[in-house]
Amino acid sequence: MTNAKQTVLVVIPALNEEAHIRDVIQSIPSTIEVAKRQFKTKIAVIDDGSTDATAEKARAAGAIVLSHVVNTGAGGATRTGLRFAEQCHLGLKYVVTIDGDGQHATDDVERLVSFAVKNKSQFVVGNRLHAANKTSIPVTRKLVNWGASTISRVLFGIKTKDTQSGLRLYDVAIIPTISNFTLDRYGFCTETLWHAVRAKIKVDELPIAVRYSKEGMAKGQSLWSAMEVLRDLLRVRISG
Amino acid sequence: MSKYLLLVLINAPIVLVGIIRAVTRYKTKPSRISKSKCITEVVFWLTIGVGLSFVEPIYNTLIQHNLTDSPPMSLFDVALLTLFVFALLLIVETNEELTALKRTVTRIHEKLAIVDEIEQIAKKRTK
Repeated sequence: MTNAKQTVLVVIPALNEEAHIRDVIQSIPSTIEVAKRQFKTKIAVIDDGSTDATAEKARAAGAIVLSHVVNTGAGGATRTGLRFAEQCHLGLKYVVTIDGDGQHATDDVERLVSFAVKNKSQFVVGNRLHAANKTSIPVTRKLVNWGASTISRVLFGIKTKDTQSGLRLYDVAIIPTISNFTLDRYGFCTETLWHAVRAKIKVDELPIAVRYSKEGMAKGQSLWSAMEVLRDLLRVRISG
Repeated sequence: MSKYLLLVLINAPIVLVGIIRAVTRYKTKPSRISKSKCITEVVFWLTIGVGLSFVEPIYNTLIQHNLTDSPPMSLFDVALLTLFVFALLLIVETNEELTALKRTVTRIHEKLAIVDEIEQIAKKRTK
């Protein structure tokens, strides 16, 4: 039995990630120690309608697997993960979301938890857009991230530099406020930040490392996907 | 009867239905739409209502300034415009129904995934 409020749930939304999922799961430490406090980690993979062996591989690697019957999108999968965190009674203190394609260094999960504990943060976003990282980010990604951050600032008043980062930490206390987002696709990153802004929840940023795989680059990077995100954000802004 | 007045009289109920439906969707507990969406819809229908009420003065102004040479409105135009406004009402209603349906399906989908896994965790604990 886990101690009350001493567990970190790592949520990994995954679509056809059989090549990386086992490595991502196994690289996450089973305990995280911060300022004499020890947090156990639990991993929940949200298999978003994968057609490959993502779910089987994740289960074999020891993760909790929540399977979507059909693909909903990164936002839909993340929302399922957050709602699971609300209902699972695992004694959670924090929920960390991380991409399933291996683009995030799992050391950063520990850094995020450590930062949150030391600064009593409730919402921490891993910032990929810092000087040390800029050379390793492909130009298309830089453009998409820059565009999304600009739109978020103009439409929603969000001051976070990297609005599209998948590596985030949420205190369990704020999840009911944050998990109410409506967008199923990539626009959810901005929408969650907007919910935080409206609820006056302070959003902190922590510089993180990033590396891109070919598969990761292919996801959500077409011009049409970007247009879809823009359309979704406009709709959310108008209709609330 | 003036065709412009006829246009307003026929379309007023449609515009009213649009406004009432928007307010009802917001006021029903639990609200099916947000406050800002309700305001957007009400403003949308009011704009149409006000636009229709001012068709005659707008037409007269355009004629006076030689900005149009189209003939005055016919009964066919009245019918066509009414059909267009009615189609707008149907589009808004269908969109709302689809959004509500999508929300329900998403909730069921989420619940299925979560309940299934929580049951498995509980089974493992009892073993």
